[in-house]
Amino acid sequence: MKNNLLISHRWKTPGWVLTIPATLAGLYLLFIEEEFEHLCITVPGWLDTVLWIDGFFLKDTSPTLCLLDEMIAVSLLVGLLLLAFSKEKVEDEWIQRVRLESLQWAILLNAVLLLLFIVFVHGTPFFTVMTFNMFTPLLIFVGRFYYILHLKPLFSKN
Amino acid sequence: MKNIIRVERAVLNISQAELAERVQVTRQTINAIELGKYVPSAALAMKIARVFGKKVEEVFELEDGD
Repeated sequence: MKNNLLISHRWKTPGWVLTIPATLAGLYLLFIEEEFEHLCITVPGWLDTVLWIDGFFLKDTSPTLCLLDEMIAVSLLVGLLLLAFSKEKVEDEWIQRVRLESLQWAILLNAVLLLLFIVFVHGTPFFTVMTFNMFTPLLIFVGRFYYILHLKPLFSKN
Repeated sequence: MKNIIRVERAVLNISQAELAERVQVTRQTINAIELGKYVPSAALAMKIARVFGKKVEEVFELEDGD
């Protein structure tokens, strides 16, 4: 079965190299809330409107932009995309089915989790939920896909 | 869908991995088919049957509810 959206198997390693450190750094940043000052830049006031740093109604003359969270988010998204869209060594029809099932799992589980969080989490903590929610569809997809292909066989007798 | 892949493999004395290599799929795919967890495409079913020198309907059999 041809799938033109998939890229070469060789992109798996860069995918892991980006995803694992970015996940750890992202969790650290989320809970520690520390900014690394050497990654903060001061941008001209006029750029604030373009980049929407403080929002349209809270404009500084020279706002500071800390790039660490952007770097982590970009690394994580690119890493997860590489893992999700790179082919297995032998990409056969059963693996295509595992891909489809994993995608269905990701969409369903993400929606159920989001529903629960919408009902039970309110106010500022919901911002954390939304931060996680940016990555959960891809995270669940990659987690389930690699579990079925590489981890489950280790525990299976057959 | 039932199949007799395991029996036919025993006759030819080949492992799941060897059969997988001959039909260019993963060993897990052969395992999933043998266990009845995955129904192969017509093309793959024909390739598997060809390895055993049999017709597709001799290797694969429809079950009630298929």
